[in-house]
Amino acid sequence: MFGHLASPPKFHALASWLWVWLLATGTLSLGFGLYTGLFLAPVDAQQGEVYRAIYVHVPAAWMSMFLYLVACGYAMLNWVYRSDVSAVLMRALLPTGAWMTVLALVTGALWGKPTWGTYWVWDARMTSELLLLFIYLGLMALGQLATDPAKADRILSIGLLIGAVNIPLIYLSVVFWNTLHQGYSVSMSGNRIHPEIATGLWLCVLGFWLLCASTVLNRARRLLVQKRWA
Amino acid sequence: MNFDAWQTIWLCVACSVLVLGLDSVLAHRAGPTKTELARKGQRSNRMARRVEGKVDE
Repeated sequence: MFGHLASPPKFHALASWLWVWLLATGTLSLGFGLYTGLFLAPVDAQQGEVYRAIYVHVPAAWMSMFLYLVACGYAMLNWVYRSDVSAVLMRALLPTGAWMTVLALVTGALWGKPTWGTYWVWDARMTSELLLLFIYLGLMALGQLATDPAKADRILSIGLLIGAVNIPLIYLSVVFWNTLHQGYSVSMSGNRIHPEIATGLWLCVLGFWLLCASTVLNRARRLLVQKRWA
Repeated sequence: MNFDAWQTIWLCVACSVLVLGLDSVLAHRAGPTKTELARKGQRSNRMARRVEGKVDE
């Protein structure tokens, strides 16, 4: 069904207009989500107003893990098919994933000070998220090491798949260890967030997803032009 | 430094807008578009023709 998108000219043509639409819809969704979350959602009984940091912290943290898993998917495709499109998408996802990890760590620290009394502790969730940032940075450096582009893509694919071990570690860290970080609020078994608070959160998650997809597509189409036609 | 609840929230929102915007700008500089590449090719062809003309003179 999506096989034709492995063709560089077809992917380039699609990405060239799609990224603009994703940018516009993402900005709208995030703007509406922030308005709903910051001004319409009720105050939390325990944390007061400061809980509203979830509207940016949670989407950033989810995207940091999700983008890594998507990059792993393209790493596997690149390993099997060696297509240029999968190689550029795998590379284009890394900087955005790293930025989302930085954002999750910074907003988490800012939220931690008024709720926990500290910006940082070597808690399992926070430490594994910091490790994810180092993995992203390491992979971005690894992708530049080999002079032969095909070899560099294959090295990067292996590196990405090895680093994937950290993702379940981040997700399950609140189950495996006693952490200062709270446990799940949203899981496969259900949602423990009140609908009035959750509406803004889902809109912000959608906004982050669309904006990240827009940036990744824009970066990928430019990397593809450089790889194929420059 | 201690921030109150709304200062913390606005700082988080500002960081998010900054990071999303910065990443988008950096993506724009990741490489050329096909149009930019074609223009660059035309420019270098023009330069080459000009140099050839001077050599012929």
